[in-house]
Amino acid sequence: MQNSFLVSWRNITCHKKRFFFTLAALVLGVAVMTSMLISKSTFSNLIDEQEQLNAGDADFWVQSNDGTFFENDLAWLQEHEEVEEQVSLLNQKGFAEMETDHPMQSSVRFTGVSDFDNDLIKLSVSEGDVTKEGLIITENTAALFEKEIGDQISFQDMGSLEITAIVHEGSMLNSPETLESAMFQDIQVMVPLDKLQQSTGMENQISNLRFKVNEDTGEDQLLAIYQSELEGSNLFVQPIVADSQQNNDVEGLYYVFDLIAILSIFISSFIAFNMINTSIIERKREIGIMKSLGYTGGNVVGLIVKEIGFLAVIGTVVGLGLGIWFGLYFQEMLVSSIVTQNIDYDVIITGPVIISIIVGILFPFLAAAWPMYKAGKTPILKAMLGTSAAQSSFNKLNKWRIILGVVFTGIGLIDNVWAFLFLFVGLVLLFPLWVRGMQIIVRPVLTFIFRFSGKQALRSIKQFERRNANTAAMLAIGVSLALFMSAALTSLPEGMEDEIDATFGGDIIVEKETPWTDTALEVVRSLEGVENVNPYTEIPNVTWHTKSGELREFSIMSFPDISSAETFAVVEEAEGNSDHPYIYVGERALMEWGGGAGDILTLNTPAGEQNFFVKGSVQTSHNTSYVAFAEENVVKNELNWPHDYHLALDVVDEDTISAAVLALESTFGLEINRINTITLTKEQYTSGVSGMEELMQGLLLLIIAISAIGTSNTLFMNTMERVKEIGTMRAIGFTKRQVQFMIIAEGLFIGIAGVIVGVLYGILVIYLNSISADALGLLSFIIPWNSLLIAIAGGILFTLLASWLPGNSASRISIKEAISYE
Amino acid sequence: MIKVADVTKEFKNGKEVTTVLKGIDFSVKEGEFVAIMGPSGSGKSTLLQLIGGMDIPSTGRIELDGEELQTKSEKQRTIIRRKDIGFVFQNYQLLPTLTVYENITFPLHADRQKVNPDEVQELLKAVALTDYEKRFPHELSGGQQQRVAIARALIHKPAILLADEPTGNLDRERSSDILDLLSSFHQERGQTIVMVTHDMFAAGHADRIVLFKDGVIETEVQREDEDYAEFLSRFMA
Amino acid sequence: MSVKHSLLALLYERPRHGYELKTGFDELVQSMWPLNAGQVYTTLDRLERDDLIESPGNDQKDRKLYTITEKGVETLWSWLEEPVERSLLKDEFYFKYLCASHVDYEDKQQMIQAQKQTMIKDVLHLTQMKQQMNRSGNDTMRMLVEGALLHLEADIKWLDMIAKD
Repeated sequence: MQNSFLVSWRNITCHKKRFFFTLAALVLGVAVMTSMLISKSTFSNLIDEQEQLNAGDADFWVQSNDGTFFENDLAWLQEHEEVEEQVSLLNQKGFAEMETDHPMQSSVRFTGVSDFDNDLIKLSVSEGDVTKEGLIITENTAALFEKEIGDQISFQDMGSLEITAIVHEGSMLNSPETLESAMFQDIQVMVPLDKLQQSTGMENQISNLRFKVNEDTGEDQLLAIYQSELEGSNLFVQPIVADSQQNNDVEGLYYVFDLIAILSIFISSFIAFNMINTSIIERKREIGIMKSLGYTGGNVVGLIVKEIGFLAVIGTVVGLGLGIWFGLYFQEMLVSSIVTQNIDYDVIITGPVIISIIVGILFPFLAAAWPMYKAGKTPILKAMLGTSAAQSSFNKLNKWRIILGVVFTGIGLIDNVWAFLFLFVGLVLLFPLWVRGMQIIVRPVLTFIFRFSGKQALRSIKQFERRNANTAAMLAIGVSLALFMSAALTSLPEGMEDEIDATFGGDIIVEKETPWTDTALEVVRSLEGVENVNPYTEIPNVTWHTKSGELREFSIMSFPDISSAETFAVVEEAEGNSDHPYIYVGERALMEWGGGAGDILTLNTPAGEQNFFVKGSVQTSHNTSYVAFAEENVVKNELNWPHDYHLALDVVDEDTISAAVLALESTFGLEINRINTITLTKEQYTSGVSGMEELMQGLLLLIIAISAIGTSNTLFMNTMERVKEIGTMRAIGFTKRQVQFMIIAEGLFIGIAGVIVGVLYGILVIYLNSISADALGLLSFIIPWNSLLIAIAGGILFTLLASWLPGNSASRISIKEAISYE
Repeated sequence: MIKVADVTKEFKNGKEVTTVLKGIDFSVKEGEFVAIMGPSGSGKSTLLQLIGGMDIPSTGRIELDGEELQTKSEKQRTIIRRKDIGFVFQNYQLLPTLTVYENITFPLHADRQKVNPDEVQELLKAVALTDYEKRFPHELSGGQQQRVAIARALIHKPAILLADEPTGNLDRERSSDILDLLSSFHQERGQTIVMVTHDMFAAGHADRIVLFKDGVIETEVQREDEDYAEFLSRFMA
Repeated sequence: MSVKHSLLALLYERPRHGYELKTGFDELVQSMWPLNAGQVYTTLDRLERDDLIESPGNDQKDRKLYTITEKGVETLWSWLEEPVERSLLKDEFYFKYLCASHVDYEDKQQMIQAQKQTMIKDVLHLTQMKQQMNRSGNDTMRMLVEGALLHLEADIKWLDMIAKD
């Protein structure tokens, strides 16, 4: 047994370069897959964790439609025995005592906490003790003020407080990193509640109260009890939900990660297939002899299984190491480009590594299944007497392959997200056909550059047509996906910008701490450049259940009436009528819920549990479409949300936006909770995407690089099988350079064929997506010229590099040895 | 035409050094047909490869038409080879992906020379393969393949034809065919030929036979020499 | 013995007189079989006696012409039809070898080498002849030379074989 392992090991390592390149391809494939999986799991875990931190261990919270309320309004709650723990919070704005160019830079958002030693607020501690009463700041703030634990920070009207803890940035506390960004972002700190109440003159008032109930009481029942207690008051209760979807639309990102992981392992398996297939064809005779000596088909397969086992295990182990390292690196880039803050997160490795091990070991075997089957079936006599395989198989296109290819391509043209996978399988199957076509186009080029060597290369291409076609197909898939993704990344922001223009609802949105009054609105109207002023409101934390029973949360925005709704665009409207209030729901929320237009949706609103008739599904730039819209009178009269905290402003033109923002800030100062402009929103979106674009281009270059390894490997095999021929060519007059050019020309052919077909398929996929009903018109038909150039240049450059090495080794083939081959 | 002076050739295999040629002096006149005979491993093929510029001697000189080969770069030697030398091998060494016609014209293309179709046809006729130009090597018999190889070796009108065991893979009848062909090129066109063989029947076609043994030339005989047969029989004993 | 048949063959071609038959024969065997005029005439006499040929008379130069008779034709055909058997001891060297072994001849090796040399000479001679035949286009003769060369190849191999004993 040990002996047979040795034989397998010798077999697989006898062609060192081939072994090395195949292994390299597997390693890279596994590495890319592992890193993608790690990134995906870590990232989704990070988002969930942030949300979980925000929610803490609390089960419910009570808020008021006035913003704040008196603590003793909830005195009744103290009598409920199921309440185990509670904490009151007050949010107020103020200023820190610090030297700044502009007062806005020192603006602080305080969160007053009634009890520091609680389980209901989760903070991720960097230093100090969060359970001690005092001042809690974030790492950014500590850096900004250059303070440490035990130091003091002074605030206007409040005096100095001692820093008791420093925490990582998170959704609970989150501060600007620099003074520049402090212009637009508050410094967020946590202080004792009573201190804040005193200094702001809000004695006994709080913004919300969070509490936890013991576990043996049904939460739904409790919610109903609390809702009935609060009925008719300004207060309302909501279960606390960790739902990150209104802030993040990351499914697209996950999809891209999956795609790259699948693609990389697919390409590297294909390289393994090429190698195993070749090695089995080469050893046909040997296998025939083994069988004649009494080896069964099973024995032969067993021998090969061990060989693949070596490849798979070594490739996976090394690939995992590399992948984890790369995953960590990639993860950091990803977090810094998307989250834009220093946050603390756990890296998820175990799950991805297990999946990678399984896939990394399984895929080479899957790739080898067909060649192994053939090896087991090798007839003894035919193999022992057989002529070289190259002669028998060349010049004939496999009819079934082409038919199957056409069928798969046909399926691929169907409008479905997953159909394009069929398109690519079709591409691989049809590739020999494309190779034939390419020869007509590429022939003059290669002949022109490499003269006779080029012509000779085209003949060699035919000799190993199938293997060359497969290799070029891998490159083509890489290139076409590169194009598609970059088209998507270019056209998504454009589509998004259009959508923001269409549904932002104005040029500036201002959210105030207190409701907008008529006098305040008059003041705004009188500001220079302001044309139009539309107050509206947004009910936060409206909870509901998905059809599968998960608790979810979004907000409801008000609109005056459907004919003048500027914050969304209706995609689909239900025909029917209903006694329930109408509601328009964003598409992502609708998808998460599992229902559609015309269904009844039950929501927990500030007015308690209510049913709504989903009048339509809509697209909007607000909350990444994870939001609902209701008519103003419904919100105010039926949902117990009478005040307008939001204001949408139209200004004369884009240039006046920043002037108007400054005017608003200096007029209302601390009262303003948040200002957002249409330009800022667009900028945020595009900068997020463009950061992604570079990452994607890097990854796709990596995929082209893996394909290039495949090209190298293929060329090595091609030359190995032609040692005799190449020696002859040298003997009868080819110089070393001519031989090298010939091999490089072969590689170049694979490169050009792969790139051209890849570009054509890429454009086809972009086109299919632009007319697709599924992609919601976000993707328009554009050709990403930059990426096209990168793909073409990268594809050709990488294949040139990849063919240089085999070309070199072919030119070094010894004439003497080659011609004395028997 | 060919002058080999005091040539030695060593091969290193790890630490082991084998001397294949031990001081060879040898020359070939224009229009001569020389056969080099000797048992396998006697160095005769190595000498042929040195004359063909595929390798350089460890010491000594090799002159081809007055040009010294051992001082030339690999590339220069390749260029000399493709202009002045035609090669015929024991195992034909045709390029399997090329047709007969393409195989024959390969040396011209490699040297970027124009192909004159009439000359190719003439050569095809001379090797009796007129109707085979579109065939691929694997569609031909061994003898036919070797005839293609001869045509390929002669298409660029080389000064010297080097043949390494050209009949080694063929039966007597086909061998005789090939040898007749070589003889006719020699006699009718004055082609200089150096042929390595261990077959006396093949060597009998040559004007001169050079006998190799253990890396040295043991003896040389002209066809008209009286002791031709005696040497041969001794050698073959 | 085949002089008879070769004359029949030449006469089957066309009627000839004695001298023409001699030159015809020389041409047929490429002068490799010396045949004198006397042999021709005695053979002709015997053929005429056996009614295999007859003479229709003399030509203008008064030379006796011969033609083949029906019986002659039959004899020629049946000769061509008859396969030739090979006798083991017809080869003289075989006999020499047999006798040399029998008397424990000391210079047996010398004898073998001498034979080999002769045969190599024959090979070279025949190879040259073959080249000649190639040039002159005499295919029948060339095939005979090929045959002889094949025999020689086998014979030389055999000599090598017995030389080792």
